[in-house]
Amino acid sequence: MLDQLNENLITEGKEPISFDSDCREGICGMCGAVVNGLPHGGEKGTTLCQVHMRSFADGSTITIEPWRSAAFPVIRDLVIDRGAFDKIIQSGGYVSVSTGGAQDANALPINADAAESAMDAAACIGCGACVAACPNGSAMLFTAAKVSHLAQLPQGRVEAKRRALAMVDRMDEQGFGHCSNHRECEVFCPKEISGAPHRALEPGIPARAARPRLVLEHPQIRKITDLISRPIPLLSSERDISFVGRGPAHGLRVNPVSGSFSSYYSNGFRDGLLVRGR
Amino acid sequence: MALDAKIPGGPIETRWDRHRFDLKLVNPANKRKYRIIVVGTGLAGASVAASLAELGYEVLNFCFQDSPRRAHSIAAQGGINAAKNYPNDGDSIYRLFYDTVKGGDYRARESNVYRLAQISGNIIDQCVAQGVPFAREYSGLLANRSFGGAQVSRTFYARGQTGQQLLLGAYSALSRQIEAGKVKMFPRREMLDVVLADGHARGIICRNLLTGAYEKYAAHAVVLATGGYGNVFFLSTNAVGSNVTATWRAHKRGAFFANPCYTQIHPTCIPVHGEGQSKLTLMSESLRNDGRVWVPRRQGDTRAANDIPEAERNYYLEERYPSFGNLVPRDVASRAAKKMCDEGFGVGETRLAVYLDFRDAIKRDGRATIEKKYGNLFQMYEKITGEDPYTMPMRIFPASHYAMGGLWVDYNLMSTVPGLFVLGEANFSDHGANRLGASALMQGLADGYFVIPYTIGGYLAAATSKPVSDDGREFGETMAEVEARVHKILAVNGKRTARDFHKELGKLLWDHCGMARNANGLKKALVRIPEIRAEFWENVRVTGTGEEFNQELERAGRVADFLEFGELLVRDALHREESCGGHFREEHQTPDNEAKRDDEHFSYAAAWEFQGVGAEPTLHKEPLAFEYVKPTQRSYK
Ligand SMILES: Cc1cc2nc3c(=O)[nH]c(=O)nc-3n(C[C@H](O)[C@H](O)[C@H](O)COP(=O)(O)OP(=O)(O)OC[C@H]3O[C@@H](n4cnc5c(N)ncnc54)[C@H](O)[C@@H]3O)c2cc1C
Ligand code: SF4
Ligand code: FES
Repeated sequence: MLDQLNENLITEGKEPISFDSDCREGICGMCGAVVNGLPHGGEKGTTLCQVHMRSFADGSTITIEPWRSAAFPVIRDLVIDRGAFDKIIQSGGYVSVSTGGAQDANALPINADAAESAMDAAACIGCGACVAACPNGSAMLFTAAKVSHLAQLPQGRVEAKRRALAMVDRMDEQGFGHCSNHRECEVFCPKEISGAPHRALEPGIPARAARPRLVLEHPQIRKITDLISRPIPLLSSERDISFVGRGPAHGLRVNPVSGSFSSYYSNGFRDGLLVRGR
Repeated sequence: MALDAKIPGGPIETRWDRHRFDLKLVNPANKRKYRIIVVGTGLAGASVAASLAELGYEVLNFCFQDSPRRAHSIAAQGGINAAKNYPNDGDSIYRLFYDTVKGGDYRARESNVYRLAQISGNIIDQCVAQGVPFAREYSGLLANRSFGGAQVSRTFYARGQTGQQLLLGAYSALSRQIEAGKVKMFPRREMLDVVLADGHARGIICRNLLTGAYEKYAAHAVVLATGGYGNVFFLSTNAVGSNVTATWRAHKRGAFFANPCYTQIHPTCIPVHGEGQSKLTLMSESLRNDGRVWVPRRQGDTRAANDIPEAERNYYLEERYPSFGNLVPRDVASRAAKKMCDEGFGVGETRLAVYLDFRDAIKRDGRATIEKKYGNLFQMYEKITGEDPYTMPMRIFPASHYAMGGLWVDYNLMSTVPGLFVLGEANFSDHGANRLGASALMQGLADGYFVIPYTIGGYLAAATSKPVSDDGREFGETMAEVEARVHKILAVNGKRTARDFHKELGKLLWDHCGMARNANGLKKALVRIPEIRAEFWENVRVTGTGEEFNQELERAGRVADFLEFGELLVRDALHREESCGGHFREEHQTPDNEAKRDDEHFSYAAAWEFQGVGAEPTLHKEPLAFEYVKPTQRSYK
């Protein structure tokens, strides 16, 4: 879509919009923008490059903004500098082995479930949506994903503690905010990385059992989207449920009687209908 | 100039060992006196940069993306081969070697392939040690699957994201060396030329993509790991940024380009839909393990797939190739699909697709098993097409995917420019005329972790360890030429976008130099390409300036190089009067439409020497000797 728009702009003699992308299939993590207030467009498990125009109503206006975070300076239009992520990995996101001399791969059996669970975390593509979604601009999900990938494998366990401390320190140094358990990151993560390990990283906050989910439908996005993964207490009258961190308003107003909601993100107000709670 | 591949003598099993022993070593204390430039951070680039830094060399590493982790290797899905023989199904180094030489249709260098097979096991060991979460059995041991062109299960995988996990492994090793200060990382830099001094590669010129500034870097050796040129076809499974610029510019500085006409068309891609499409999406070939390929028996059958009864389905691969069935090599599977569609059996809206059906596999193994194996691929398919492959067959069609051709290199992976090494998909070395599935990842990591770290030492030990500088006349001159070219592009100020030119070139090449080629079509393309190129230089429109972040300018520069390279691709295809692997000349086929090689006249690697844009390049031949695997007509029946 942006390609086509740019073709038109260039032909009209206008400056095209700069945006990053490479693989166009949701794996390289290069693309990313906030679409209608939702990182990567808000479709479950989807990167921006996989959002199809067919998911928007004809004629609707689509707002696109770059990731907003102090740690990701904007370079131009939708292009941002995510170098801070590389720096976090450099601080310890590896097993300290050099090339050569590794033992036979099968000499170290690894529990299949542990390997699968490590793989779940390793699937992170480093896109930065978690940071963009977080009211605190925290990189906790990204950092925790790497920590948990390696800590679940015997090869990585040796350095697990040192690694976790170094990476969290580096995260702070790079200007990311602290995690205060809003869990917006999980909702918008295109690889559906689980935040369970990130709660493990915050020893002060006990891990909670899975919470009921609200599924909301929005006229402009049309697909059912897991917009919110926090419990909505039984309500008797219309009220605000705010998940404001520091920073701009970021919340949801629900009318439990009619089921209607309006959400407000940093960039405006939109309305929708609450379809069901599960 | 005679090509010397520097292949060691003696029995093939001992060649690499002996060669390593014969190579001069660089004293550990001296290593830090050498600076090495590595361009590229894919499997090949990241693994070599990390390994060289671990050895003590000073490494400068470049990529055009915002982070080394984005290199196109990240997109590889299906897996990586290794001759571990864990399943005890008859695999061995020799069998992997044999399969690769045969799969490459007897156009690869035996010694290189043997070394690759020998090293393959170490790669898996290394990756496991790094924490790559390969799939495992409940025993805790590594799981394997089979891939096209092989009858054993030797492919290791991490769900459908093997490339991602292997690249993140190499990237983590690279990150560790960056933290240690041994690798200096330069993201968002595009290498635009190699600098030669006294005939040796001594540095590169880059454009800083953020600021538009030109930068020069000097080193004792330059390593290119810049990936393949599959995007010359415009629509391909490669990432949109993949390009030929680095290798093409090196070619213009004297590095021979070998076998450009060996391009791989992958059989299992999501078919083209719509004009505005910018790339094609691959569905891993591993799907052919459990999916069955078919078309309706009746031409132009418009019934929905599930309404077509069993008896009216033509499982043409299983019928024609009973022993390999759906697992025939890619070139064979691709051509068979094209043939079916050409004959009117194609399915879907465009009639340019065949079915890949999981009904029977789901019946046999249950949905959960299939989901575990291919879940993310199925999901990707559904996202793109809006159809559910669990309940209806996928539609697939071939698309440009991989480049077997690349810069010519000797056994040390050094090009014809001394000090310029080339690895990964960018070189031509190991896959002959066709690459087997899951072998590119293997080759990239073999080159990077286990070949270059030795062979580059042999070169450096004989070279000077005096500090290098970028003050020389050569640096100034090359930089001026690079700048002039960029200014020239910006000065055109025409009407058509670079993307539009790319599309036109791609369509022309796909039609005349794609899955099937003939002299007529190739000659037509050879006339047309210079015309498109001429128009480009008169009518391309690039907005903005050269002194800023300018993605249009980046694109235009890459398209300009494709427009020069495309001509070489066609020339090579025209000169090779035979069919082999991915190069299928319609004039040369067996009565049952299989590729017909001409070993008497074409058993060589074609290495082209640049003579000027539009000028006829000079052909150099490296004869191929087959001492171990005797060439036969490939048969997968
Ligand atoms: C969709 C897909 C799936 C695949 N699946 C498999 C599979 O299952 N198994 C398998 O074995 N193979 C597979 N392949 C093939 C394999 O992924 C590639 O051949 C391999 O990853 C190439 O690695 P590389 O390191 O040579 O290059 P790449 O990973 O392409 O890296 C190129 C690097 O060079 C840099 N670069 C390029 N030009 C410049 C320049 N001018 N200046 C600066 N930097 C530059 C880039 O930034 C990048 O870092 C697949 C390929 C595709 C397209
Ligand atoms: S955790 Fe998810 S959202 Fe964050 S960088 Fe990784 S893939 Fe992107
Ligand atoms: S472009 Fe690679 S994830 Fe979107």
